Amino acid sequence: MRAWSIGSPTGTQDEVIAGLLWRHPEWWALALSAAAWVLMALHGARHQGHEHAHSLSVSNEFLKWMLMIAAMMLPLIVDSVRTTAFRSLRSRRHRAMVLFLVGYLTLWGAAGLPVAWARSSSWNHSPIAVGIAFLLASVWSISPIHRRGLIACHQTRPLAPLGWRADFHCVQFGLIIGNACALSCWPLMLACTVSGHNVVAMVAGATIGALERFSFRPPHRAIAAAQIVIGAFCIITG
Amino acid sequence: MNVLTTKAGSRRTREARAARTRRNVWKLEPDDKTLFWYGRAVAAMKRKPIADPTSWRYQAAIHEYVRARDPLADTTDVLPSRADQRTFWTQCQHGSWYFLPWHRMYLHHFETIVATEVAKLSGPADWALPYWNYSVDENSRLLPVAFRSRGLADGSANPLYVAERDDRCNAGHQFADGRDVELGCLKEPAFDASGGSASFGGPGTDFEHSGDVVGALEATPHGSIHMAVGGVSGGWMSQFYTAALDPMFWLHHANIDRLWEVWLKRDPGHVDPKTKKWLTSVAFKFHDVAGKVVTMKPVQVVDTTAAPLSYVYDDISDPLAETRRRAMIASGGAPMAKQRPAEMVGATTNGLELGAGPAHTELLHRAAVRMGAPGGAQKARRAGRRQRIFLNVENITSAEGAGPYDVYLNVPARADRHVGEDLFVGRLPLFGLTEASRVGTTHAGSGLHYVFDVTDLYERLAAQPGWDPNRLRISFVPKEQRLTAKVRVGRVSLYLE
Repeated sequence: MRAWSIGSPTGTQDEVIAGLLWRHPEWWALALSAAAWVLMALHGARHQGHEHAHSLSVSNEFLKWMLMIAAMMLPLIVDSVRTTAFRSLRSRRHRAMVLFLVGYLTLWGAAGLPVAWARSSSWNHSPIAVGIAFLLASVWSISPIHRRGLIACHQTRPLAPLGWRADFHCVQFGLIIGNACALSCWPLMLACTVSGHNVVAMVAGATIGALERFSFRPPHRAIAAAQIVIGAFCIITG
Repeated sequence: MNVLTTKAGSRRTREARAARTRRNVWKLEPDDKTLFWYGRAVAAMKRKPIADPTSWRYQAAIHEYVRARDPLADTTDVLPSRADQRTFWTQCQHGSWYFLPWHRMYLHHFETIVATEVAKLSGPADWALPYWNYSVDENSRLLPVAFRSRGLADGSANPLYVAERDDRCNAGHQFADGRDVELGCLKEPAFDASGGSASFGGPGTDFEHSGDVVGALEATPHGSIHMAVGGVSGGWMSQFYTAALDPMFWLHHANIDRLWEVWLKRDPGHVDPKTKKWLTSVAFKFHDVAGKVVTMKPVQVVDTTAAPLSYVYDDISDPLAETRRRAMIASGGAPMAKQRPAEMVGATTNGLELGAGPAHTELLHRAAVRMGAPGGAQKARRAGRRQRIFLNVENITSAEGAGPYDVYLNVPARADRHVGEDLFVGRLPLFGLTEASRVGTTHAGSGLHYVFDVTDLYERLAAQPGWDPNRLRISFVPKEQRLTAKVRVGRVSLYLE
């Protein structure tokens, strides 16, 4: 008995693989995230011990910002990516996901431009700047605005099935989710950037993001305290 | 075989020893005192301050609490601390697979609090919450008599009476129709579903106070009865934040809880989720009768005969037994397809505004490509399974509450309201619409999302002359010809499983 809709490949192994890919169309977005983590880890290894002091050009800082977003944020929005896929016609699924990510990353790109510009100057390359950034992230994480952003990350939007409207709606949905994500996570992303994209800080930040996104009752106060600790760690080891 | 060692035997023993038996309110004997004691206990709970976890208002606030909309708010109220309000109030689970276990826990704690009050008042030690089975016939849909009159025979106020209901409820007139109480939800094969497919109990989620996709039981009869009793003027039962203030709420939810047992029993293929995520990953907090904080997980409430629940229903027989037998014969015995993610095959391009009159939209779909209209479905049947088709009504939002709408397929243009009864898809109860539409710290604002199994209707339409395999006309008709608020439907889509 065929388990999948008419037209799927023949053969049990093919069916299993096709079934997995069909059930998880978001696989390549997670692969992108993994690749971004590898690149960030290599960057971290190259500049170990001088993370916050290392200064790049605006374009390089912007590239690092976007890589950091891809690494840390894409796994957190996998539900929205899947929603986009499954609310689209099968023939458009991957196109829909690409357009969603275009909208999502555009929003984060806009949020990253002023950060990249500021990072190209030396005034924020100091332990004090790192401390202030993580303190800001900590205070933000217990604010009502942060909680609204977290909840807004779960929203869904109607998507047209075909044509330019379908493309537009996918981009628009990406922008909306990007906006919600930035509302909740921008200070933490800023802090990780000011730390010089310290890999330990990024891993800890990603863990915080996952706790807030996927756990039943995120421990907000503990998360706020953890960000202070991460900041102290970056200052001591930087 | 030792009756205590077999699983079936031990359950039978627990059933026999159950502390409480919940009975149909319409089958209580004329001299039965269950509702008398319920009223006495409700009156006692209403006299307690709102900050007391065993008070009437505290119990209602567990469902949802909005201070600005509390009809019983008083300047002398001393509310629980903000931390306690966040932890214990506004916790009801909707649009989620936790809908049924959470409401079972909620009912359990409420029942023990009421039973304790009854015992304190020298009532029976085994008092149990009755349930309201409104799906039997027209008479069963009426509000039970004990809840209708403002005063009691001795001249005192009736604690079970609430003025904030549909006008017809307390007058003893029909206020709900057959579509409000129909039990098609019992036919859903799967407890939970993901994207596009229908489910009995709701989709898998995390903590979800107002999720968007509504499970079949939660939609009808649960949501439909809330809206029918509450009425179109915003009566208590029609809003999350006042629903549990109406003493009928608890009997209604006891019936919803009972239908969960009916669903499990009517088909061996009907099972609760087995995943750790549903069973144990989420804990909900309540207060017990002593005011002590109690944490419960769904795994602790899957068996009503086991402690701490220890109750049974007097009747969990299958109300659809005859129709099930006929459906099996009609389908040639083909089982429903095993649950897998459904595929979207068509959707509307634009949203739609619903108002006081019928509204129509068109859905273009490529189901013909996949199914070859009737041929595809027959091919699937020959392969030993039945392909299911779902109509999804997505992202329904409104700034104000709205009355229910009925959904139809392919009603001819210029047809009058009563033509097309055989084209009826289902009812959108819209209970919780304002909560689901609001953006806040507990709501994403995506609105409500209903899923209807239209397999039979679709196949019937496809077999008719003039059938266009690429277009479906969807119509929305308000349940009642009264003023309704503006409602927006984000999208209507067709899914194939």
